[in-house]
Amino acid sequence: MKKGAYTLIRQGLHFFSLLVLSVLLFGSCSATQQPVKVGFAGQLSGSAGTPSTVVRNGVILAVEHINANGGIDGRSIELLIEDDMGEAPEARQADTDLYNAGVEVIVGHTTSEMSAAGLSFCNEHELLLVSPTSSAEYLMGKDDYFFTLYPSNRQLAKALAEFAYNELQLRETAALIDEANKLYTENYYQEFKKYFERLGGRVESKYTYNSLNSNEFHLLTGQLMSTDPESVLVLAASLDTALVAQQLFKRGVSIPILGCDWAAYQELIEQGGPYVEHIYIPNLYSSNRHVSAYGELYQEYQERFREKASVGAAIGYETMWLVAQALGMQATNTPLKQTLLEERFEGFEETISFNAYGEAQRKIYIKTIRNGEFVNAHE
Amino acid sequence: MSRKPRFLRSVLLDHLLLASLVPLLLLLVAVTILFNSHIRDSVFSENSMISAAITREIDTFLQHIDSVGKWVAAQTDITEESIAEMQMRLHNTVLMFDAFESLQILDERGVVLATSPYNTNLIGSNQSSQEYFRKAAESGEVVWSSSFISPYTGDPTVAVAFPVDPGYLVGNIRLKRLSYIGTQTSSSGKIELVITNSQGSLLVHPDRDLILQQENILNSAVVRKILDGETGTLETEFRGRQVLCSTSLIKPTNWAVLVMQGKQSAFALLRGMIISLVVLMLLAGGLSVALAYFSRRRIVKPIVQLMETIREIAEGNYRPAEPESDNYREIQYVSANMLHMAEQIAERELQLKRNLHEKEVLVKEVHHRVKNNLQLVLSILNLKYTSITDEAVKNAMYDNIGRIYTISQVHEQLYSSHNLAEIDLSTYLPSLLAYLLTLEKYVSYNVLTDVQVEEVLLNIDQAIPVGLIMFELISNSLQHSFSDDSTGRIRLTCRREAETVRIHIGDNGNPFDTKLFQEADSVGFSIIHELVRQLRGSISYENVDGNRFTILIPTAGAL
Repeated sequence: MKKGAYTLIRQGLHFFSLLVLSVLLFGSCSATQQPVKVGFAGQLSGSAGTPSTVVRNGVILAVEHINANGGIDGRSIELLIEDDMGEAPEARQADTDLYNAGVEVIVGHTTSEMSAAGLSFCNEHELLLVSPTSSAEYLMGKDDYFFTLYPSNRQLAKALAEFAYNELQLRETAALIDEANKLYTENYYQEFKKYFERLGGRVESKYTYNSLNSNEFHLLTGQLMSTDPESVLVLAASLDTALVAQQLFKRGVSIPILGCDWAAYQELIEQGGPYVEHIYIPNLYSSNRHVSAYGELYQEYQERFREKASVGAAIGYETMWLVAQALGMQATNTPLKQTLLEERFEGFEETISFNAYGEAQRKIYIKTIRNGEFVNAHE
Repeated sequence: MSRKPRFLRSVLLDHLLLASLVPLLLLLVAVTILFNSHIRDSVFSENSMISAAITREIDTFLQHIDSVGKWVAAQTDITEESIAEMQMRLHNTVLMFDAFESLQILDERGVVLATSPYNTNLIGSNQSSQEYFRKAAESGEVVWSSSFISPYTGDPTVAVAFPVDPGYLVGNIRLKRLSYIGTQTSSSGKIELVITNSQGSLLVHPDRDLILQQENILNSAVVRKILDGETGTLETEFRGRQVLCSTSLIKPTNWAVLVMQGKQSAFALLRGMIISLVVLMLLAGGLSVALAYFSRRRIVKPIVQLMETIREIAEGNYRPAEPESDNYREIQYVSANMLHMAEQIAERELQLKRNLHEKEVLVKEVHHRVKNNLQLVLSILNLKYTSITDEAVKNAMYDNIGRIYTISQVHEQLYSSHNLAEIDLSTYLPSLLAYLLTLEKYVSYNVLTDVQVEEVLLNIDQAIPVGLIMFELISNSLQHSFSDDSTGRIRLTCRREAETVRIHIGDNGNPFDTKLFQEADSVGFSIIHELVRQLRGSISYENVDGNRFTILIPTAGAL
């Protein structure tokens, strides 16, 4: 069996433990080790809270593993969790509370809107915001205190557009966009449209709605299908994407659905039933749990939380693990930001590094759902 | 090394304290163990009963839903009824039973046929990927799903699927009832109710935010044990707190129920009682100590008085005050015998003193008579001396008279002093020097004396030779060092040095012929050497600004 990066991560943790032991033996034995405070901020409550709780659980699992293996240079991680409730003022308040609590870095937020809301505070106070999942272009290309482990919308949309055009041979699509996370969805849409049309495809129509209001998806899908497109681009969360898929089926429509990573959660499978099995979503990880470190995490996560792991849990774990690596590598008097920009870090399936703007350079895989599970569309 | 004996009063106090405090301590331990066991059992039992009551209430709530669901399912006939009829039944049921957030009827493929409240997004949707549908399809029985946050209400919700031939009735149950139970339970502030779903996510917790955030506490060992079927009442650590916790598992939802009480709060009564007991025991202990001191004083007092009586007797008071020995017969007996013994000693001592006095008188009389006899000899010799014309004989006679006088002075001192055994050189030697200077032969000499003699006591066997040596040396100085028209100085010092008596006798006159001294050619030096030998002493001579003799006599016998 192939030795995954997850095992390497474990070995790394053991190495850290030995390092810590050496420091304790030959260094200042009497010093009391204060924990390293790390914050997590994301939308944990409300009807759209479930995806972020999965990310949070991944972060918690990583912290438990790191602490069980001796922490960072002998210092355990104290994880402080704040709920931004998916609202900008709450996001700013969450970051303020975490800053006041003395965290060294915040893992979050989980949506681009909330990351944007909290970023001005973090820039002002030079507090790093390392997001597992934010990808809107608005956040990219700036030398600030925002880092993301997720590919940018441009990269994701480009990969999806290329797959739709080249692999699925699609030439037309109609778009449905949730404006509740407009910063992300609108940007995603624009990037997709740009690349899809550059390849020769065409976005025939665009419809918007706001998931915070009551929505009639049978009406929305009716509008969507008015131009009889050969595919639909749904830029919404998992539940809404599932409901769109269900409504399309009810209309007897069986066309490819192009989705976004915001929908790539277990909830999409549970709520969408068999009608989401022709969806395509650009995402991270090869999904082959039998050969990748992600597969090892899958088992650990299931044991710890008694539920299936998803990409959200993996990216939460990976982000926290990367932050811990950076804190461990950070030299005295060197800002954490500089360490993140200069070093390379072990991820589940690849070595991760950041460009000058704090954007991780990642491989993107197109996922689909088969037999109730996310799989690589190329398999 | 022998151990220093202790005072009886100290030993007595130790024993009294031991006898009173040890039983108190044992009593404290016994009562504490008894209370601890009893109250702990009681607290455990109370906590366990609250847990059982809550579990029953939740069971009742779930059974009620089960009954309603099964009744609605029994009324539903998917093949015969119209969608509108099913919709109406669902609507009425949701209205009547507010526990249902919504109800749906699904056909055997999982497609939603009817919903209440009516939801166009759901009608016609396929729910076959839902966990409850898959399990219900597999088992054909009522299936409860894992809880989840409702995407419509944002509240914890659980779905339950009832088989309907051919299809399923699915209800989404609001878990507000659980929150109500939690609020009621926690209202006292002492008991805390925590319920998790089968995955360890919070359904009930005093902090509602944690419920809404789906906080997962499966990393808690106690929660994991409950979900694995291990329940009971135990003391444990829960999220960094020490708690008393009664746990149970709710079937069929597999919810973990934890009824907790902080150990501080749970055992407050026990702690209070133990503190009261300790305070009481401390008071009793203090009283015991005071009583022990008082008793010791009472017991020891006659012994102390007896000791005082014995001390007085030892110091020579043979008629001490009779001790108060009425309290104890033993002390009375010892006291009476002690006084009797003192009287006996007093009588014997008196007899001894009488005997001693008689002896002293006798000895004095002997010395007096010896001295008188020697004085008689001296008188005869003096008479003879005046009639002798030969100077050599006259000188020899003169010297012998001096020697006899020297001896007679020893006896005179002995009988005229209180000490019949010893001669004090500080009195004897200066008087001997003074006697020699007043002799007719030397009376015309102008001799100054420098006498420094410390108190040194010698017995008669030492005093007489010392006196004779002094006589010879002073006579020598007067005869050979000075002439009758010169002025001389005689220096006499005597002091005791550790084991030796050191005597210096010297003058500033003409030096001696050392050969005469060393070879003892003269009668005088011959006598001196013989007497020094007899005393086991030594004599030395040096000529420094005159003549100086140093005599060292061992102090064996010198006091």
